Amino acid sequence: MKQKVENRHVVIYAMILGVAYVIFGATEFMLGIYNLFSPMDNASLVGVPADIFGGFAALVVGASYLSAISLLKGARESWGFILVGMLLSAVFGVIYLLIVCADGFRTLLASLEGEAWTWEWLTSGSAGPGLFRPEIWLFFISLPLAYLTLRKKERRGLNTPKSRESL
Amino acid sequence: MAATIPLAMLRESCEAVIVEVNGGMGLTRRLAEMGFTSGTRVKVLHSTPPGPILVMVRGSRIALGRGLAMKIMVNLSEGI
Amino acid sequence: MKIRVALIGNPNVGKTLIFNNLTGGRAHVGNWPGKTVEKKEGKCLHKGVEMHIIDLPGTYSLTANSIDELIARNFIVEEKPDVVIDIVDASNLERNLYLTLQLLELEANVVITLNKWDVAEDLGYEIDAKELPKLFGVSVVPTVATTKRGMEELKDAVIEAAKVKDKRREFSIGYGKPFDELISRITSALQKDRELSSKYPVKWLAIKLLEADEEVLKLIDKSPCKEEVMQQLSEAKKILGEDIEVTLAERRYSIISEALPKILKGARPLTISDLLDKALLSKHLGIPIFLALWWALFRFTFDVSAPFSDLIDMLFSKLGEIAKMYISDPQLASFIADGIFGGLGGVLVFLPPIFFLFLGLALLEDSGYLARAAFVVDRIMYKLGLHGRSFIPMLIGFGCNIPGIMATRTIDKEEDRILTILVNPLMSCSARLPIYVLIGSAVLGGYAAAGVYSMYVLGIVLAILMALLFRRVIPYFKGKPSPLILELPMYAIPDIKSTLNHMWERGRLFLRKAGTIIFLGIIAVWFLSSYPWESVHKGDKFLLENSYIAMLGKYIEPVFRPLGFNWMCAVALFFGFIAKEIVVGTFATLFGLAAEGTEDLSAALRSSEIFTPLTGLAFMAFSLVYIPCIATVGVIYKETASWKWTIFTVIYELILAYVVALIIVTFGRLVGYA
Repeated sequence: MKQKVENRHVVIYAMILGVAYVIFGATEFMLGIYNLFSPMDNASLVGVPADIFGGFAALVVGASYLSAISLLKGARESWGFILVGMLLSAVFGVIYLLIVCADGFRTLLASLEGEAWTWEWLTSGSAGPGLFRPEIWLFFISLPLAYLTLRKKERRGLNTPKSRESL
Repeated sequence: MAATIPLAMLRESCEAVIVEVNGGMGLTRRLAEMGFTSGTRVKVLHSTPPGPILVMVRGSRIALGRGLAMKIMVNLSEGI
Repeated sequence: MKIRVALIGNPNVGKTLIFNNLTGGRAHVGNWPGKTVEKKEGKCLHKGVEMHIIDLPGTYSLTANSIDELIARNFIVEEKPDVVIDIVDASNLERNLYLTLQLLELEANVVITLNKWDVAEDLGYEIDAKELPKLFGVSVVPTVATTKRGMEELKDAVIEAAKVKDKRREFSIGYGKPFDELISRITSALQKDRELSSKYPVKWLAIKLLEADEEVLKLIDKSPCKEEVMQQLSEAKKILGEDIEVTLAERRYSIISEALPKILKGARPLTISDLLDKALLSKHLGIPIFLALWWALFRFTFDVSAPFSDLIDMLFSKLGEIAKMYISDPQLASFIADGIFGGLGGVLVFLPPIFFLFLGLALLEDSGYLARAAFVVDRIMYKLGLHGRSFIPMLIGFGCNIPGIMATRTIDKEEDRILTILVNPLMSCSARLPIYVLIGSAVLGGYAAAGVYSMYVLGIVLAILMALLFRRVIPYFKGKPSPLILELPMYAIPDIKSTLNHMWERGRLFLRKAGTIIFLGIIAVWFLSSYPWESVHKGDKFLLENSYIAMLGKYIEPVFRPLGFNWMCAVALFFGFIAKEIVVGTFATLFGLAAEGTEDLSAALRSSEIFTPLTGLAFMAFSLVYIPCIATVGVIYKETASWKWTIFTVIYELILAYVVALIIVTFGRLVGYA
């Protein structure tokens, strides 16, 4: 049946995202712990920052996506896990993007004070590796999933948000 | 022959009918005002012991502390 | 024509939005006389009629058992507003009508608005809006507050209702035998008191008396009909038994249940809210998701607001430089540049994080998530002796203790509320962060970040310990926290305007209260560190050791020596009482630095060797715990209405701070650190 095939696609997509988040999250977390206990301050893999709490958060996002696997067993309510996963992806993606922008803003302010302008803030700053931060591009990768899921909703006839208030 | 058990012991998705509320005066009244009266249908939405329990009652979602939920006696609905 | 209109309704029905729609968002906020509950009033002009709108507290019922309900009830009964708008959530009709029935019994001039009409439609409900007026004898207006649909019709209905205020049809609930008869007997007895019966709706009084309503009992205490009424009452108790209140409540709901099928059709399908709850309330993911969102809130608060703080810092430093350039008199120049601009800058630089925090919290609250978080966290809070609702004030406390403490108003039981207030200052507020950052970067080297994190953790741990301790040891708090009864509203996309409003209201409070005090405090620091002028400003040098501040510091130094702090630390801590933000500023002044650029300051701190890593850590811990800033103390007094608790807080925190710092230093020395 066409519907079931679609379901499975969405779930697989979610699973992949879930695994990605878990891997990155675990890496960030462990790098962070390592940094904490060794006097060095700068262990980090290419593009993956050392961040205990950020890593934990990414793990949580991954766990939410992965929990959607029960959809295959027919638990209709597990769509919630995908929804929440997407919301969390968005929250963190947007926040890290905002932080990169904030860094840029600060560089601008510093340059007004006389310091040299650099583009460094795009790739390194308060959010770790700047735009390369996993949570940012994982968020973009999750957008097609969002589109697919919302289309499924409309077809299935689950409540569509016609007004701003009902969700 | 439905046994009367505390609301706290219901599993998720169970539906039941309230038989009585054993709270102290203040508690029983407050619960009654929120819609928990004898004969009312409730459905358990979430239950993760030992945490609070979330029930659907009269169209709204109300969270109850587990201690409270132990004081609300219900009969399990048959079918429906 | 001028009329007075009261707004009432259950929590979460959209009352605030409707208030804003009616008044254009312009509200006069005050307090209900003698209470700590907020009173909001506004005006609305419509078709030549001036409406004075009063926002009553959101409540589920009108008993005498909670301050909110009493305020609402007393206003209606004694002030007799021309119209009462009962805001009913159309997507939650059944329970909302309970309050409606109570209003009708109170003989209020009710206009019902069925708000969230769109949500009800989406849920598949079909509501017959014409049946309701037939049943209750009042106008009913469907509205969608978020799109302002129905607002004009509502205003029309209100004006119409005001015109017929005195021609009201008496709505009576038939409670059945034997209630009705007993009620009418008591009513007749009451009617003999002319004064009472002209002021209050007697049938309502009778019902309340049957419910053993304390406030009404007080009312009839001086009445000539008291004896007869009390006699009727005791007879009634013999017939009806003890639980009259509950029985009457049940009877009201039966009436609603009977009427409901005529009004409402349709069932609730699986909603997105249900789906979201599956994950957000899940046994395994619920708390981790909450922790992750909390972390997101922090990142948002501190990192995204940073450039704005930088901007403010730059602005005021520039202003200071300009002042110094153009003002010839050195004392005046210093006063304006370092005192005033330094002071203003010192306050305003903390504004961005505070506002971002409140914005984030408002988003979480308005979307409906915060109630879920309370649910998830309740099980842990309960074990710690705190109420589930304590956690939101604690969360807010991480931004600033002042709004955190004010947020405890949602906790009904006084003991739980006061306990939450007592431990709230242990939540490390954003003002303390600069202290940790400064000391951390100065003496903790690579472990600076760990040091800062550990302060937050320490605060939480201490709060838990104190809560448990107070519950066990202080008789007032003995017993378990009151159980959770919390409604979880449907999720909704927050309305930008309301959310910003929310944020602004809380931030404004901080500005007004803390702002003035911090500013004055910084001026005080400036003064004490610049005078006596000649001894301090010998030639080109800035000799802080000769200032009043130094004298003060040396005087209190002995107390702090066991902890390894010298007179400068003592002075900094002393001024930290005024506002924690000032601690860093004081160090800056002590080192003769005009601005507070942290790199310079931390380098200065490091080279002066005032702190070793161990004593630095102890100092951080001390500043975490010791006393809340004076503005917070003021708020504690206001919210607890008791000198006893306020002084208790100050004293226990001072002692705790000293003990904790001492433990750190002693333990560290034992293990071999200096």
